[in-house]
Amino acid sequence: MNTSRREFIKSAAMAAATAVLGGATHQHIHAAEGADGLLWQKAPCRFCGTGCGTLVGVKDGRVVAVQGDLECPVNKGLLCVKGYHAGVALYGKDRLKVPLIRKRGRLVSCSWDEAITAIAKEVLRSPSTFAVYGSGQWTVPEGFSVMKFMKGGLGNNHVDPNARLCMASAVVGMLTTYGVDEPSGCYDDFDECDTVILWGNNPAEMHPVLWSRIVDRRTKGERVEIVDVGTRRTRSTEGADHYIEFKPQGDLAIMNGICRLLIKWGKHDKGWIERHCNIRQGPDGVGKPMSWDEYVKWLDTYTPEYVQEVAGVSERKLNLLAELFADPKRKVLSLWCMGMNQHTRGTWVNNLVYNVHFVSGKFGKPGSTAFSLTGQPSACGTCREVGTLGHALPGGRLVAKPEHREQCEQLWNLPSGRIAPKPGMHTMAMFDALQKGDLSGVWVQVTNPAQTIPNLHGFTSKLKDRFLVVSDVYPTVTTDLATVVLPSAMWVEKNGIYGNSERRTQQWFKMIDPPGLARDDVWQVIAVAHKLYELGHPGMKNKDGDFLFTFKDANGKKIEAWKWEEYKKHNIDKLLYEEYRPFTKMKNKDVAPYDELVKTRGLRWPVTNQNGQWRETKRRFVEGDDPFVETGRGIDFYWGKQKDHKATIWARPYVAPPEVPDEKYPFWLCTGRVLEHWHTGSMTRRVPQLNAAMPKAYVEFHPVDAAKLNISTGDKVRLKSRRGEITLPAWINGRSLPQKGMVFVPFFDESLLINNVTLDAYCPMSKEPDYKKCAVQVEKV
Amino acid sequence: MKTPFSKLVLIGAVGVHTFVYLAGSINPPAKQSPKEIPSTVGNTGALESVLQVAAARQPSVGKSTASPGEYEQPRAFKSVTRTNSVGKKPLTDRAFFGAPPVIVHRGIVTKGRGNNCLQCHAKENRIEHRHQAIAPVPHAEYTQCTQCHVKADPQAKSFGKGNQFVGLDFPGKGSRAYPTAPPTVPHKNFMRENCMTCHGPTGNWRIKTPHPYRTQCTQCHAPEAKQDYTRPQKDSR
Repeated sequence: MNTSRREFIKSAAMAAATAVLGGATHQHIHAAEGADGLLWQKAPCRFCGTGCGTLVGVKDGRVVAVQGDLECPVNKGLLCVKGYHAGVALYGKDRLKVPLIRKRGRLVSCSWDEAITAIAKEVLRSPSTFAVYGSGQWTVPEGFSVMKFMKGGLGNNHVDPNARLCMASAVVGMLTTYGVDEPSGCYDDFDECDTVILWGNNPAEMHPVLWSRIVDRRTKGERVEIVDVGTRRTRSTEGADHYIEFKPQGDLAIMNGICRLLIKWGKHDKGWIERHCNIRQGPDGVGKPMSWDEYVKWLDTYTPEYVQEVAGVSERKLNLLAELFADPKRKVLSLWCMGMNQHTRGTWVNNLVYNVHFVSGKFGKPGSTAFSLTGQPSACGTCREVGTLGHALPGGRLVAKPEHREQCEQLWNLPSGRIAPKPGMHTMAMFDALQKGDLSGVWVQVTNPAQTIPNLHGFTSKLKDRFLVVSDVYPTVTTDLATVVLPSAMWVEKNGIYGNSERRTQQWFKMIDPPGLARDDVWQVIAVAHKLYELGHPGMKNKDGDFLFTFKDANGKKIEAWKWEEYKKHNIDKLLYEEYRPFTKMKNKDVAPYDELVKTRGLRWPVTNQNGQWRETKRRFVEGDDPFVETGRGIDFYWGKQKDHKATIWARPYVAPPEVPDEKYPFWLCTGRVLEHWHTGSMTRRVPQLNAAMPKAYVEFHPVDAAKLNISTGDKVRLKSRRGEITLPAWINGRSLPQKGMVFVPFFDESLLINNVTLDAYCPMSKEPDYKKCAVQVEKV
Repeated sequence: MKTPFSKLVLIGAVGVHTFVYLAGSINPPAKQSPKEIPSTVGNTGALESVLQVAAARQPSVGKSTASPGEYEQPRAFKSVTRTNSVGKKPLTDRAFFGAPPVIVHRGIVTKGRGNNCLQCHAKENRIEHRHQAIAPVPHAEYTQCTQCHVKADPQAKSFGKGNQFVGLDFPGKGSRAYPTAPPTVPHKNFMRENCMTCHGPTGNWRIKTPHPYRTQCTQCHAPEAKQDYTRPQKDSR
């Protein structure tokens, strides 16, 4: 009985594998049929930026189990509670299964053709006022196809992702420091460091598997000292050896204070700084050169007394931090994520953390590095590498530079001048324009802006009046406002490629069919593009007069990818990825060929072919590891802004945040995620186990504040800012412990929209808003 | 005036406590349901029946007629849904075989290094001294308990319109070389290094070992090689 079943699966897998050689789709390489009769295949987890490898068990066309992939070097078999339940998230009863279109004020079901035609006609009506708002959960081919459609087809640069709200400061930080985006280190450093500094970071909840990778070393007898530098106590604090609390925005002063102490003690690594760094000052990304003596003098402001004053960190604690960096034997790893990125001076504070590592020479050595964690599964792979940002083009190209536009036009086989020279809008400008009517429509994919844009009322209250297209898998507060809703395939219902925090590109194959009429986002883009082509939009043709997305199969026959039945027969993902791959070489971010990704559990770029072997890079800019480093340099910042193979130490001052608690609004408000829910909870809240663990948003207080206000757990509390208000239950001594004078609210709950209250001020360089600090008043109701 | 009154109170209190103590020892709590304590020691038949039960739950090979995308439930799997008896059995404790069970008991301690669970769950010897036995952790090196095991609130309202996920059921019995040979292990052992977590005195009675005094389980029960489905069975290339 069982045998026949197994044989069936085996033969199916073999048939599929044979089909691969013929160039068709549905490959099951690296699939294994277990004794349990399931077909197990690899896929990276679709939640956070860690990029854990999972094995997904499929039976009878349904996902029935998920396990950690022992072969995947990221997580080595472990997952977190979201990862284990990723398969359950596919099966919420209210999955979107048919396209919906708004008629007489109501969303009614319609055919795909009607929906696609409606979108195409609207784009044709006003191609320059239509935008796409995407996501760090876009797969690489999804982001790439949108870029080609918008920038290469419509000649419209208004493409920006939700990653703008998530890691833009990290990007601009690296661009200004290294001259090129994305981290130097990798997860191997987590195994080799002996000291970890968490800068406003809570990996125990946000990157749980990486946190385990560090903390579980202790159970194996290794010594890891963890210092949590934060504004509230979290689960990560519970695993830390020291907790250093600072006043919001004080991080700028702390980091400068550490550099000052290191230099004062003579514990800075002078040789390293001279060999590998130049020093600059100024508020922007260009700045002016600065000598070492000038820098030392400039740092003199950041005395322990000054740091105490603006950051609230005592001299003893500042010394403790500086001594860790001063100890030449220590291998120090700095970690940060949203605490530093969602910051009105996010770029500066990113620059400053590199300063600390450069001044102490703790960089580029195993275990010693500054590592920026990324929030979303493909914020790196798609948003940063493909460059799905208003000002960017694939491969680190810039819209503003004519020669860059030309390179892209050539690679895309487009007529010269197709790509518009004016950079597109960043997220906040985009939603401001939608609010004011400067943009007439927007296509939202894989994200939920009506819940996540700060100061929601000020930016999304008019969305309903615009032509809003939403591609999603579940109803959300954004689909509620939509003109057209397109049901999308999710995770293993489609082929995909993600790039995680450590530059690892991972690929997976479609394993099950999407429910109902749901279809891939890539197909949706190609279908709209083709409809525009039919309607005669001139931009939907390449230089040869062919349709923009012209693919050929192994026999050279053109694939009619805009027809779903045809699309399904081919691996369009592979074709798009291979089209994208040449772009990545332009900034030495060479990603691996698709077939190599299939064979491995992802490869960390730059991946180069050396003597016929594809070789990944553990640590960028480090000789011996990175193939692009000039021999003899040791560390080579080969994309350094000053073209001197050096990184930049930036003199960035402390400035006060734009909104500070006062008499009327006396509390700081900090917002964030929780372990159980992914972003706005549209997927994880439909998992019974996760929803039961974290069913509703809450507000946390310091117990002293709660006592003063006579608030206890369960009491209804009204939070009010200058922008909006919200009433939610209090939780005292709950998951975290905010500092005195601060409240914390998670943002996953669509019925309690904390972003009605948050501040829309953003970093002037990265344009990333600050969700971590604004002023609110608190009232018990 | 005060002194005699407080003495009276003290005497009264001692008296009450003595009575409660004696009453308690005379009438030990008799809540245990006989069903839950099968006579297992020295009775190999118990495991047989366990395996029969498991076998009975094994699917007849699923020939699902459901077209993909329509959520018809294949017969092969147990549906994972919430039970109605709120409070007693708050939630099915795991979504599928291999998913981390949710924490269903009360009084969970989440403070303090995030792994205070180990105060009870790390110490196997404690279980002998307790009326309510506690399962030890089967994976000693992983200590960030709450990262995978979340506490479920039995009263939480479900979100959306519910979920139709159908999870992988528990595996059936392992194979035997001949009728009295020790059965093989029908699942992989990663994260299940301590067999006694599930098969010891605290485990579900269906899979409890009939010989808990023998602790070197893998000496006789060999893992099935083909259960190691974490590795591709063959290189299709």
